[in-house]
Amino acid sequence: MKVKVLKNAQKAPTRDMCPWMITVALESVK
Amino acid sequence: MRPSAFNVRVPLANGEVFLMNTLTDAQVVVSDDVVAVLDRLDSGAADAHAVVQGEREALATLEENGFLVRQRSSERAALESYFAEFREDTSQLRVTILTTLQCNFACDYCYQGDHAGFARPAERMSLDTARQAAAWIAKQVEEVQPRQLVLTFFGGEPLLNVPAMFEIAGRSSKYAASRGVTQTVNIITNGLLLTPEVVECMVPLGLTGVKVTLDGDPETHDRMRPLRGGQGTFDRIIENVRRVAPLVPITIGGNFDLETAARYPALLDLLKAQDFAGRIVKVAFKPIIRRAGQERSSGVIPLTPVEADGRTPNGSCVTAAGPSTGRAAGMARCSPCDSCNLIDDEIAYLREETQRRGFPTPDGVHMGPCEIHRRHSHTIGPDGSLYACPGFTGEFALAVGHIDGRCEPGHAAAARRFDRLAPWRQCGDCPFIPVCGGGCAVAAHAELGDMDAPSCHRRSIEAALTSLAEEAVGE
Repeated sequence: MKVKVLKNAQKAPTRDMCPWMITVALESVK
Repeated sequence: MRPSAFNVRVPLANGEVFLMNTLTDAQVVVSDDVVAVLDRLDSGAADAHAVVQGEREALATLEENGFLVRQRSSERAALESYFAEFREDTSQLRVTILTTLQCNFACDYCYQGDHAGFARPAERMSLDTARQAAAWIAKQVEEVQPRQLVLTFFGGEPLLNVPAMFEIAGRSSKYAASRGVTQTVNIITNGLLLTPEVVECMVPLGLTGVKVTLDGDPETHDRMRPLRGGQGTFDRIIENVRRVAPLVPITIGGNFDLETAARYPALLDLLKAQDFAGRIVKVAFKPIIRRAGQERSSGVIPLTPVEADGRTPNGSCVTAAGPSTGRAAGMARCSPCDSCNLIDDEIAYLREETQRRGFPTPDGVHMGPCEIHRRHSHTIGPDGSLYACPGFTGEFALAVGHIDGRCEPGHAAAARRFDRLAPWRQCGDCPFIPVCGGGCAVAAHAELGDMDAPSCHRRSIEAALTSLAEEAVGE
């Protein structure tokens, strides 16, 4: 029974401003 | 105890399985016997109390990360809470400002209406309106009290109206600083007028990112994105990026169709060889979607029928705001998925090519919820009209207000309509709802004539999930 956690649950995952279209990433404005 | 409705899985080559929960964003790799237990729980053939001791520990980890839930019914409530929290989040106030709809390019695919064939003069924000916009932003800062104010300058070509940008960013910067709010600024530009002087003036005002569009290798780009006089623009843009890259992080955007997608690897190789390659923080490609009947050489996907009634189009720059931008009135109805599977495949191909060269790129899974679902995210058009997102700019019937506070007929109704927007409620039991939000409302509006309808690209997200899993486990 193996469960290897790669990423824990997050309260508020990061989202792009407009991933469908404008694609200005939050990462680029931090 | 039941498996979450938002679990998605990817079988791995070694027999193990990658699991992701789209609501909690948790990711795990499990052995096949864990999957068998999940399937037993899902079918009701077993409950969590019946599992043996060895399984209990594994299930506890899965529960901790949201892969197992007490009741499926409570998950729906959790989903609505998730969207409500996203909507009411006050940590950021985000404002996109379209300082002009004018453009110095004549992009092959642009239907925005400011170059040959479209005689209508494009709008441009006056300095008075820019001052009003800054005052409106200050009022919002006062009301929302965010930690961060994010301004995005966009167009048209925003660098054709630098004074308005300086006016807004300068005034907002002072106000934000006086309230202890961090201001950050992005510019989305075609890159032709991008200079170190502009960047040096904007960096003290919070500029942290510039997005420039390149549509393939030099030959392809120059054909797709010429100046209004027909001259090529690639070399000058690359030179401009080289000059500003030491000053600000660069994002490269690109638009492709079936004909030009194959030219992107050459562009990626060219970018990789540049001395500024390390300053590129993201490369993101989007498909060009042409309106039905629009003349074009073969290989083009006629996906979005924009302005089928022949009216002059308007709105935010299709380069960055996306190909689906436009009005719905008079459009022939069609399914956005009639041909988008081909586009989804090309997106997957370009994402892999981009990642192979070491450039960060959107993972294609985390596609939403987008800004339109945030209460404190706004778009200001050149005349001061307020919109729910840049994709609706110029469509006055869908303006939700004005920075001067006027209340025109339709403003309140449009605002209510966007407030209620929740296309994911029509997505049934799709496990991707938390990372999609029902898709792009502008696309649904343009392609389906119904912004409340989901705009589904599940196939694309599923393909991206496979890539994400492979990357996560290092395959």
